[in-house]
Amino acid sequence: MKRLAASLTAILAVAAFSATAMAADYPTKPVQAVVPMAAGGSTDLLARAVEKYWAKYSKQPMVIVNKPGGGGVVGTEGVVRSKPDGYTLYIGYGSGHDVVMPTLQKMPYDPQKDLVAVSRVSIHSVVILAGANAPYNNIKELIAYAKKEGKPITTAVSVKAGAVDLALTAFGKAAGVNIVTVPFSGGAEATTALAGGHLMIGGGHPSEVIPHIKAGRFKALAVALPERDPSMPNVPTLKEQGVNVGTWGSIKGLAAPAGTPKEVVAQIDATIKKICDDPEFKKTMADLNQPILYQNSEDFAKFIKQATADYAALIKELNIKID
Amino acid sequence: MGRAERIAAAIVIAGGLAVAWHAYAHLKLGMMISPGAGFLPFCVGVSLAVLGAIWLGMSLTAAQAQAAPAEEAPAEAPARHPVIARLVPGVILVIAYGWFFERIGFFLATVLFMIAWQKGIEREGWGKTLLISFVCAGAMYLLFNFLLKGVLPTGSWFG
Amino acid sequence: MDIFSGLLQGFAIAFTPMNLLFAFIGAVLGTAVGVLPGLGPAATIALLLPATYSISSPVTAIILMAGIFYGSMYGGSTTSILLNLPGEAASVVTCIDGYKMAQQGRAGAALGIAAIGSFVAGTVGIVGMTFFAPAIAGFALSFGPPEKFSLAVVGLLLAVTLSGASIVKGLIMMATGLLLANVGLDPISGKTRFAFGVTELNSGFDFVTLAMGVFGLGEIFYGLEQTMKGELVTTKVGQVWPTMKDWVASRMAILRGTLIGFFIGVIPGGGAVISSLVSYAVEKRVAKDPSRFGHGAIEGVAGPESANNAASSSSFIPLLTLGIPGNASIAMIFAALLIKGVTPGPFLIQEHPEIFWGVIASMYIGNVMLLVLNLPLVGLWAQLVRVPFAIMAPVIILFTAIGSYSVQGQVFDIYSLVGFGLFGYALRKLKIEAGPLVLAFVLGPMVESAMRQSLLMSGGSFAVFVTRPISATLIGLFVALAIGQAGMALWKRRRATTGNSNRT
Repeated sequence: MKRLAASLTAILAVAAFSATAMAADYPTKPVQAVVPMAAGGSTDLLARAVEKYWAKYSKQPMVIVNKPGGGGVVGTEGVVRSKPDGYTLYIGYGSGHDVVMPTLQKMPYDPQKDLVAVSRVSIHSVVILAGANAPYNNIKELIAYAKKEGKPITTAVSVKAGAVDLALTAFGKAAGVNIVTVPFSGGAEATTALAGGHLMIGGGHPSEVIPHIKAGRFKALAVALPERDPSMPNVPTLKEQGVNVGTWGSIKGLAAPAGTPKEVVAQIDATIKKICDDPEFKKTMADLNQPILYQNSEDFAKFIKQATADYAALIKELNIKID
Repeated sequence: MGRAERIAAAIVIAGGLAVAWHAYAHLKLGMMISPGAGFLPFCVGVSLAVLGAIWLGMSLTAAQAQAAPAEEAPAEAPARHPVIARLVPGVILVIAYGWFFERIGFFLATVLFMIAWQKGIEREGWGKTLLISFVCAGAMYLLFNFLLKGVLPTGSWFG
Repeated sequence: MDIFSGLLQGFAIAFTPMNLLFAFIGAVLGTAVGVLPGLGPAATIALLLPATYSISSPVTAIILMAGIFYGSMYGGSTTSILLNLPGEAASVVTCIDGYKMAQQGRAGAALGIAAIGSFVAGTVGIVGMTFFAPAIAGFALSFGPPEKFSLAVVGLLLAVTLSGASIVKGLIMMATGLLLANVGLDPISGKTRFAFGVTELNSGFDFVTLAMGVFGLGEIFYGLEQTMKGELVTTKVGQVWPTMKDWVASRMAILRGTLIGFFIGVIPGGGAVISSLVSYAVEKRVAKDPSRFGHGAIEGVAGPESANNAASSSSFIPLLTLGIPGNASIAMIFAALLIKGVTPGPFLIQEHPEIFWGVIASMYIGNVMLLVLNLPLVGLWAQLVRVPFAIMAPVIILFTAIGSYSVQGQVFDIYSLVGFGLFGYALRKLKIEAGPLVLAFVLGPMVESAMRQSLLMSGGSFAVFVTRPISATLIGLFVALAIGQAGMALWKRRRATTGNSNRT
């Protein structure tokens, strides 16, 4: 009996030690980072940039895996169900299926309870755009134009009930403009249609639209964030132009399965912080037109909670339903 | 042939009606000026039912024109045996492969699949079975480890 | 800078040993993933993205990726012809006559003509791109939702012509394809359709899984039942090279396919698929004896294969001149360039002429490499039909299973592959062509989304489809084709009945 107890204590001690040792040694093998979106999209590009600089600050490389099924839900669910040891991470935490979808439909997991926020890397704001030849140059002129013409304003958005659609619909309601959002299958398709002059205005994330703006094909009318977007500092917000709408766009951060040891989360967070401070990473992100808006684990968790609540309120206000 | 065709046509009719009903009841049809999520499935479901009925009709008239039983009997009889001996086990093996794929890693699953296939379906001797299985699985491991590194589950072996 | 000095500079860049080496690696890898069922260029380029970081020059990186992309178009025809396994949507049409040719012991001729056609089309496509890129780019942008709808509707109508003997069966297949495409998220309403609570179905079925199941696995299941210990396709390998007669028969088909592919391939999303369909339909129409099609007509391989290769060249135009990626592979190349700090688009040719011209020049070289690489392989591939069924069948099953898993990383796709395989087996038993099903699956979402987008844009007015010139032209073409088709069928039937009554 005594011997049993002794060996039990020994096992427990070893287990406890190995847990701390695990955190101290972390990582001892390559870290798998799941991107639940298609390769080549803006989330994937962000992940690839993180991956590139991860090697500089971590003993082990990061391996990116794209699992784009189910609008992001399948890949994220895979992370939720994997071992909480810090070797399976999720890049893209804060996207539409984390902060918008739970309000609209049933989810196979709870994006807040089943995942632990690690760090925020960026926010992809919603930019309101018009073709370069449009007879309006800012929000005031757009509203005046819409009221004068009395026609509905056709608007290209990436997907139905996504961050872009919600922001544009909210703008229409607040400004009293008849906005008809036309959903496409993804941001690239929506901006292509707008570039062809087939719609009057459109919305998109800076990473998708800045190349078009530089090419003189679009002009940016407003940013739908509460504050200006660091990647397009010259574009005023909707609030500055008298329309009281501010959404969170699409948030991009890292998360780990719930139950991942605190020490490990802290260590990954510290590595991400170092990456975000790296001047070369800053340069890469600037090339990708994605602003770096780092937040640590604790603040990011609070921020996700806030964003989800804000989106829920907005969806309720706009009376958007998907059954 | 004729009987199989009539069964297939009946399935098409039933499937078409089921789809149309689901689209009507659960997805919304919308209006002509702004079709909803159920509009296309409803139209397709109705068309399927109609097309299935035409097919059934054509198959029935064709069957009347010919002496159906005479051409059916010899075609069915020899086909029965290989279906049970080869096709059914083959399909089960592929499903089993999927089930084991993420659980034991793709290399081990591939070896087991090849062994089971050679032994169970092709009835090869053990020597040939093991040779073919390990050569094929090894070659695939080398190829996919190069092409799809990080995508395929490796299992606890070959991690 | 004018075109010739630009091109000269491009060749100077492309001919550096490093860039030559990477163009070659790209061509080899592309051929390999094109031949391996289930592996596509998009997935391969995605896997190579991290490797491109260590390549210092962006030109070299894009030369490698472009090589993989157009190399896979060469390789894609191989499995379509030998195993009835289309690797991507644009080679579905190749299966129809190519696989028949292989069964008749003419695999070598089909493979050879596909390689030559691909070379001609690829090269002509690049020449077209060299001289007309900016002009063509505007054409691509003019395709908004109403134009896309009209184009896809024409594509669907052409897909019916692939239905073989019975139009009714063809229409049933097409309707089934449309329904399968409806599974998953509906982008316009945000609703999930026909998923019945299965999360994996939210994003719908994957094209690769569907095509490999219905064509390839269906064929194997059928073979399992037919053979005891036989061989997969045929014991006949036959003549390895196309004969003079084959060449004469396909010469014009290659040229027509090239032109069709070049123009339609520019249109983002679905351009390559529709161009292969259009080419097949055109060949069938101009042929002296259209009844040979579906029974191993060499023009039915030469035309569409040329079209999809010309389309793969011209699909670079929107990327390089507008910064718009037209398909998944091109989107990946776009991403790689962005990470390298190069923004593709209208300024590319001014800001980075070395990239623009270097890539174009490398494509000329790459196409020659591919021809040299592929022609000797034709003989080797043609021998593949002699591998015993006992080895070939499980290996193909494994390749398709791993391939469909790799697309989204979910085991569920292996199960759906089996389901589609059984479906393909049933079609084989009922003697129904699966072509219209697979093509409707690709074109269906385009038709539906584009129609609903157009109606949202027009406030519910159908006039939008006929008041816009391109759309109106396409709709006119559709009506003419449909009337022509119906008239032809009626005329044939009347002739057949009078023929019968004369005999009796």
